Amino acid sequence: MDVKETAASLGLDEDEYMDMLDLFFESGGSDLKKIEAAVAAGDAGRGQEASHSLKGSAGSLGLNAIYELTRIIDDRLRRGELDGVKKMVGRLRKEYDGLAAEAVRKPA
Amino acid sequence: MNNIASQKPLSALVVDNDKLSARVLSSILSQKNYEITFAYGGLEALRILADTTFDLVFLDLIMPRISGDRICRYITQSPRHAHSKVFIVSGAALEGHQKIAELKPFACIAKAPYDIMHKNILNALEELDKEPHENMLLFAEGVHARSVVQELLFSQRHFESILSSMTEAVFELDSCGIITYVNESARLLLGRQEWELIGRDFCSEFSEDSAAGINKALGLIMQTAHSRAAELCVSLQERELFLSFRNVIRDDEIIGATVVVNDITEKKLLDQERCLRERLTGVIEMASAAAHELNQPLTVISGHAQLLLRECAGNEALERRVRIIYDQIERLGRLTRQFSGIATYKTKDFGDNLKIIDIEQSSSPGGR
Repeated sequence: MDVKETAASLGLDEDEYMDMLDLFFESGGSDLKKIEAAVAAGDAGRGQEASHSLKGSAGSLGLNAIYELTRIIDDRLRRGELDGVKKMVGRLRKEYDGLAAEAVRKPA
Repeated sequence: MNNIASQKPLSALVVDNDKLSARVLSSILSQKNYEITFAYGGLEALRILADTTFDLVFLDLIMPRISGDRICRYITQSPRHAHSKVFIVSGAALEGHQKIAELKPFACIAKAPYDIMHKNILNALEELDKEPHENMLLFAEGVHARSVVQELLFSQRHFESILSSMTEAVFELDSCGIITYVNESARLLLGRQEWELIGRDFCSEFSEDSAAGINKALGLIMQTAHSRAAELCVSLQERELFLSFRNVIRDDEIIGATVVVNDITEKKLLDQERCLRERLTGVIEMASAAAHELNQPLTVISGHAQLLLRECAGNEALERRVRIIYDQIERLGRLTRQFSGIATYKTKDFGDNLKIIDIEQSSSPGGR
């Protein structure tokens, strides 16, 4: 992901966007862990709050791949449908870790 | 809407449990030179709103513990905050705007990617300088409605309507005993508006003694993150209340408690009446049986006493004694008639905290 390009597409400067990404990772990591734990335990209800939160955060920052995956996971968890969700959560983890590796603040 | 006369920037409160959402909002609002205060959750917002009023309040709807709709009602109903303009900023704006309009906010803005939300918020803020309007404005350009959100909102409203139609008063408290939800019956029970109750300490509604009992019950159910319940009877404004407490656990953490209150004043009075009726029935049955059984031997004794009176005519000493026997039998006869005339349950003191039935007061004149 090109941070500068994504920031510009949203009408934000790079620094401000990076500040927002920091906040995204601050809560996103624990949200993702909660989703993973809920899916592993087969308890859809426990992951709903986290999936709602992660979906909203990703959506507002234009993180489309994470947003789309979380949107589907969130819908499934709310309906209590866990079939295939584990695989999607695996893909979400991959996307999330990939973004975290890419979006590292470069020294000034 | 502006503070041009005083040259003072508008004050804005941003309420969102998600720090990123709050940051996104502040980034957009900073272009307007507002004085921004943040509340990262409904409870924090209530604490701030207890002391401070704001020109503008930006409010997320779905928040844990105390949701945005309750905060919105608190602001729009409270006379202190009458001048505040509330902007609901929600991911369910498009699907739920008809219900959101009932909360009477100034506007409802859809949560969306930054660029879209930026545009919608600026459009909403422009309306502040236009003619006042009664109906809520909706800003959801570039956002599409989703069926899953509609289902979610329907389900939420379904449970809300069940709660509001319950005859029992239902309170939700946070882990510190602060009221975060009241249903209609709870509002009626305490004779207060919702905005007067939300954010208050539940115990403060009761006397010191009752509050101590309530604190003890809350302490009991808040000890461990396992489902626990407690019950308590308290008096409030000459009413007898039965309180059922239960802790609320989410993700292995106690996040508060629910209190269901039954007004048992009427029930207690009815119980007392029923108890008296049952006692009276027992007394009447016993007295009637005794009167019935005593009546026959008394009639026989009375008849023989009358014969004896005739036979001992001239023997003054004997006649006097038989007369005493006859008079006492007549007295017993009157008593048995009173027994069978018992219609109410009246007692009199018999010393040493004992009470006995007052036959004179309990029987109707002339028997039944």
